[in-house]
Formats: sequence, C-alpha cells, structure tokens
Amino acid sequence: MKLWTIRKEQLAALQVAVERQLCDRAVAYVRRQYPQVCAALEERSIRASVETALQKRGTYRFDSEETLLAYLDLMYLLGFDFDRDPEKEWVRGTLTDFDLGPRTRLLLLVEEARGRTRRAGQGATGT
Amino acid sequence: MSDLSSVVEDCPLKWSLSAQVKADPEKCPAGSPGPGKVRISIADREDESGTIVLRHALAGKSGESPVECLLTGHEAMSYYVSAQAENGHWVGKKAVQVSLAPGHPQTVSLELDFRAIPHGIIDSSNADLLLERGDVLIKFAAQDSTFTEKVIMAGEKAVKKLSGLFHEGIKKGDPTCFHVAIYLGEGRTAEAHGGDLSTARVGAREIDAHAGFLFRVYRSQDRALAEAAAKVAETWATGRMKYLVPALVPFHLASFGPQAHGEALVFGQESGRKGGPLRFEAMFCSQFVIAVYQAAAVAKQLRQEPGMISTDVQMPAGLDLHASNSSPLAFHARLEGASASWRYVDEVLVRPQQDANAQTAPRARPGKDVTEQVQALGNPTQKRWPSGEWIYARNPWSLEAFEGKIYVGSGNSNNPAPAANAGPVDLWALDAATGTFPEKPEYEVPDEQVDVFRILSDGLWIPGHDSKVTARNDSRVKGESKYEQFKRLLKTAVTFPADWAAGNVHHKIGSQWMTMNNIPNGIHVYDVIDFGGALFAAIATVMGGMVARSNDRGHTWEVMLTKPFPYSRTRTFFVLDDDTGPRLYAATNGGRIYRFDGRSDFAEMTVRFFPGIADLKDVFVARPAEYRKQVVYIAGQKIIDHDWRPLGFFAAARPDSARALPLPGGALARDLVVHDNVLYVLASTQPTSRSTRVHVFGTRDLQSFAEVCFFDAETFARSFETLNGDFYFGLGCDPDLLQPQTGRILKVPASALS
Repeated sequence: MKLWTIRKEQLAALQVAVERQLCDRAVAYVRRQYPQVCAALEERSIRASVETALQKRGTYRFDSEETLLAYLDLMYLLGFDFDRDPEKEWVRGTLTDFDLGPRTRLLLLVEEARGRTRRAGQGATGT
Repeated sequence: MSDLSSVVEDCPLKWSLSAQVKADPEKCPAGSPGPGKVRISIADREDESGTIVLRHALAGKSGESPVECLLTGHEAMSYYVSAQAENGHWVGKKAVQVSLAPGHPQTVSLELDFRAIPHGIIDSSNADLLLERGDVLIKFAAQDSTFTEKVIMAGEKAVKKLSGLFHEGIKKGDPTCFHVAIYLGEGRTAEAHGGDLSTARVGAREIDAHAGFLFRVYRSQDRALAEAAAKVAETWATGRMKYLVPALVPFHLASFGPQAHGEALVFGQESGRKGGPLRFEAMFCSQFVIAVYQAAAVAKQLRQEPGMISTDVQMPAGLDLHASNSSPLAFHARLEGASASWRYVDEVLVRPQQDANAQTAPRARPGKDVTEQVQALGNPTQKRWPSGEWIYARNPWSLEAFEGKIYVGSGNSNNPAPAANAGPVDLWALDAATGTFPEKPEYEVPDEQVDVFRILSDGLWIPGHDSKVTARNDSRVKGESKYEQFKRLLKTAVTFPADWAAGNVHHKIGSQWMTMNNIPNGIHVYDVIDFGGALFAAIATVMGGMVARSNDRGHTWEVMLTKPFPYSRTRTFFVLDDDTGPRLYAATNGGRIYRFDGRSDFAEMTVRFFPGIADLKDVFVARPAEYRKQVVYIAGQKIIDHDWRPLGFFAAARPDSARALPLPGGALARDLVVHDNVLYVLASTQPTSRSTRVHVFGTRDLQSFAEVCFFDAETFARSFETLNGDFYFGLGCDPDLLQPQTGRILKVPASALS
C-alpha cells in the first residue's frame, strides 16, 4: 500500500489555513452572539480578542473549536481579561481545575457567567 | 455549541468513551448539597477493582454535567464505568458496562442517587441524619470479611465490598449471615445479640458497637406503627430476656398461621410489659424485631377491640410471619417483597475508627478550634512524587525539630503498591524562623523511606528503613513494556544483595550528612538508640528480627538475635528503669518485648503489653517515648509490609504493668512529643467520612488529658512537632485512600493557642 508523506512545511501551511478559517468563524460567532458589544468595536479589536482566546488554549488546556468559542463567550460576558481580574476570582477555581475536562470547565463557566449576567440585569459587559 | 463533535469521535480507527453524570435535585431534601465534583471510575471489574482511569465531572445547576470524552483507544475493550460525588452525598446507581470497538463512539449516562449520609458511613454521632426511629436494620455478619479488612478498607470501597458479600449471602440463603436490629434514635439500637453467650441479652446498644459492619435499612411507611414499635422495643430491651441461639429453630415454619396469630396476640397484650412478654425467656434477633412490630400493631387493634381473639389479628404486609420461626433471611425477604409498606432506604457502613479501648475513654472538654488559624507551609515532597499512586510516598512519617529546622520524613519501603519501593528520599528541612522550605533538599537519603529521626548524644540520626543504594525500581515505568521491565528486573536482581547485604544509618555531623552502609544483613533498620555508651540499631534481616550494636558510633557493628523467624522485625527500642538501673528493651512484630541482658543477649519477656487488643499478630510498639519514668507508645498494626495504623495508646512503668490510655472521645493516637515536661499526643477522629479532625492532647500526669487544640482537615495528620511554642503537622493518608493533601506541612502558631 502506498502511503502519503506529508512534509513539515505542508503541515505548517495547513495549520495556518485552518487557524485562519477558525478565526473567521470565531469572529462571525461573536458578532452573532454579542452584536451590541461588537458594534462598539473595530474589526481588528474583535480579531484581537479571538487571537487572545487562541493564545489561552495552552494556558488553560482547551483545544476544540467548541471550547474556543466558549472561552470567547466568557471574554464577552465577563471582560477580555476576566482570567486575571481579581473581581472574577470565582472563575479561576473551575478554569484551572485540570482534573476536569475542558468542555466541562468552559461550558459550566459560561452557564454560570450567563446566570450572573442575567441576575445583574445587564447585557453583555464591556471590555 | 453542543452539536459539534470532535474529530476523534468520528475516526473509524478509534473508539471514544464519553460520559455525562446526572443528579436529579428533586430526589433530595431541600437544602441538601448538590453533587459538585464527581469522580468517574473506568475499571476492568464491576466492583471498581482494576481501575484503569479516574476522571472527574462537574455537575451544573441542573444536576447534569456536560458530556465529556473520558478515554479513547484503538483496541476493542470492555469496561465498567461508575460515578460518585466527592462530597459522598451522590452515588451512581450501579456501574455501567460498556463495550468499545473502533469507529463506535459511546456516551454513557451515569445517574446519581442522593445519600443523606456521605459515603454511607454512619456512627452514633450522625446516624440520626439517615435513620429514623423504628427503622429495621439488617446486618450482614459474614465471616468472609475479617475485622482487619473492614478497618483497612475505607468508605464507599468497604460498602461495595461488603455489599457484594451481602448479596452473595442472600443468594446462598444462609440465615446465619444476618443479624437484625431496630433503631431507637440517637445512635442506639435494640436487639437480641449474641457474642459472649454467657452475657448475651436482649438489650439496647450503641450503633458504634457494630463498627465495621454493613446494614441494609428498611423503613415502615406507617410512621405511627414504627414509632410504636420503637417504644415497645425500648420497653422490652432491658436485658431481662436472654439471647436465644437460633440453631434449633424450625425456620421452615415461618408462615403466619394459627400459631403465629396466637403468638402475635400475646405480643400485643404484653406490649407494655417491661423486660418483654413473661412467657419468653429468650429471643433471637429477627424474632425480637418482628415481635416488637407485631406487638405494636396488635396493641393498636386491642385498643379498638379489647376482646379480640387470635383469629381476629390483622398483620401489616412485611410482618406477616411467625416471629419465633422466622430467620433474619426470611424477614429480609418479606420486607423486600412488601414495597408498599416498607421502603428500602440505603446501605450503610458503621464507621470503624476508634481506639481499641475507646469504651473506657474519658470525656474531656473540647480544646480550641484553630481551623481558621492553620497555616499551610508547603508540600516539599510533591516535587519528587507529584501525583498518582506516588502521593502515598509523600506521607510525612515523622517531623523532627533540630537546630531551628523541622525535618520531614517521607518515602515508602512497602513492596506492594501504592508507590512501591519509593526512594531515594529528599530530606527537606523547614526553616522554622521564616516558615519556608529551601530551594533544594538538604540531603538525598539513599533509602526507600525516612520513617523516624532520632536525636542522640552526637546529633541527628536517621535509621535506614530500606536501603536504596542500588537505586532499584521494581515497578514498570511509563512507556516500558512488560518484557523490557522483566529484562531490567533480571539485570538489577544481581544488585539486590548489595541492598540486602548491609543496612544504613545516616548521621548529620556539623552541616554534613554521612551515610554508613555497614550494618550486616540489615535489610531494614527501623530504630537507633544510645544505651550504655553504645549505639544500638533495631533491624530486620532474612533471618528475622535482630539488634545490632556499635561501639564506634556506627562504623562497625555486631548483631544479636531477637525474634528468629523470617519476616520478623525488631521495630523499636525503649528504656525503662528497674532496681538495677536503666534497662534496654526491644519491641518486635507479634507484640513481643525483649530485654537486653547488658552483655550480648535479648531475652523474650512474657508480658501483656497491649491490654484490650486480642490479635497481636501484626502489632508492635510504635512511637515509643520516655515520659516520667514510663514508656508511652502506640500499638501499631501493620497495614501493608511496613506501615501501620494505630490501634490504641498505652503506657508502662514496667513491662508487666502496661495500661491502656484511651484518649478523650476514643481518638486514635498517631504521634507523641515530649516537650517542657508535657506529653503531647497527636490524634484524629472522623466527624464525617471525608473530614478528619486533628487533635492535640496534652498531659502532665498520664492520668488526665486536656485537649490543647483541634482543627478540621481533609485527611489525618500523621506526624507533628513543636518548636518555640508553635505546632507543626504533616498530613498523611492510608494506602487505600490516597489523599492529594498528603505531604502538606501545616503550622499552628503559638499565638493561635492562647
């Protein structure tokens, strides 16, 4: 049986293309989910927020598209630097509890953040 | 978001196993704790043995967790998946069996049931949280599960094991497997109980008397009947009636026929008679519980129809049995079959944590609760043993204050897992002035375990618990195939004699540590002591227990035999004065004591050194300390190989005058420190199954103990030390219940105690 050989350069090019597409989908997702916040932001700021979320994948050990979008949800619900915000200390315990899978940590945090936002009678918070 | 699926799950060459836990908040009383973090166990077998992976889930507000991928693989496999909340209040209905094949992602739903008692472990202090007056307790009393097993196995693991045996007993139809009692409230039961047949009676007992046993709990739906039955039980269970050995009872005639009707009428007529029905001199366990319920039911009917005769007696479902002919097994089956009238509540284990002589323990006023003042100083041994089974090696076996530092023992010399044959050991020394550990350990001890420290006339010594000179590691390491492991073991086998040929002592001279690897055949060196100008070492060799003596501070040794049997071990030394002056004693396993003749021999003594403990097979003197011309010590019982669990606390002025010193509340002593003429005892109790209370008791006279302080922790403190008025503690764990906090060093500052 003949096997394909994929060179490192090809893999890297593929990675760049996949990340770009992922970034486009994520931008579209936050525009759709948080139109009011996005209306006040420039395109490059929204892209920067997605870049930030992509960079956090290593720190908080998540890698699927679903968990990336969940992390963006948290950024748009709680503030772009929610993971370092002393007032959002309640996030840190779950976010860094690596006994738990990434889906569990991020989806439950989004659920909690939405509940808190609703209770506070606010829409999406600013950045 | 949830409709997205990962690439892995769709891969035709892989399988994936995902899970979701579900807890129905409607199933628990308002205000009950939710499931929170849930452990998911993926195991080869249904009882969780052969667990291959432990994962965690977190339930959201709805009681459900997100679906999470737990495991992926290529080869077809079959596993059992089970779940239990870490808080112990929610437990999976049963393990779910999954068969996994490539290309077939699977998701299992793990439903959790609520338990009022976390982990299903009760004692007299918390029994009322689950049990109600009149509850019928069916106790599994098979001999297959030894006392040691029950004590060693902790929490839900024990419940599962015993539960399995229980159901096997039911299948076999063995009536002797069971005992029946009725719950009276406040941790007390009424029952006909055997044991010592000369004193066996129908009476009331603390539920703690059943420590280590499993109960199935059944509750009458008719609460008025249950309350009335409990009252009858209280009235009858005075000790007048003896225990009837049910050996000759015709259990096959248990149906509720004419004779049973007549008997029930008598029970009803005699329901208020103190000591029980006059014509009954004795009862057996199930007979008593059925009888009190029948008495309560019939008494109510008699109040409505005083002239009723036996054929008029009506008996509620579940109680329609001939009490005098009904085995516990028959009663259990009848309750199971009467679900409209009787509700099965839960299976519970009675907590087995107490001093062997707890029944004579004095009461003491609680000391100061310093839980809020406890300072965590770090977990130094986590660097070498960060996670998994190696947590066990972080056990701080001893803490010792020396030259302003607190030295921390660790490692593990047990041959079986967990963390088998760990070592070498990093010797960490806390700077007590700053409360910090240095960047690097003070010394790497070439032994598998640092178990104790001894401060002798020339400084700090460590007996070499299990030499690690050849640095062997018998366990398979990550990425190593079984064949590769076999080859490595074969290769290192030739170096075993190097480890076994000579035992170690480690001595700190100035700022340097020196290891002397020259005690002949000293596979294990458990203790060292100064006596009569010589240095003595308690050792275990292939020949058995021995004592080695050195007249040149450990450079050369001569050996003397104590207990000449393979696997025998000389574990500790202590000194007591007699008419001739100070005498050296050596303690071995098997609860034996040997006295040094002052020249070249140790002779065994016939003394009762552990009053109240019947089985001395694996018992030895642990943590001996001299206090007021006496030796105080803990009875340590081997758990696996070397480590031990405490059974009781004792003192002896002479070897033949040992006495038990049960601590207040039956607390289990774990370590002893003498400081400023006060004997401090580190002990623990378990107010809940996952919360341990760490106590420090103090005494100046070995008569009365005052509690200096206590705090609540996730696990027990294995060792402690005091320096400049501050107390230091090392958190530990047992091998069957690894706790992530193990190895953590805590401090209670002197200011918190005032």
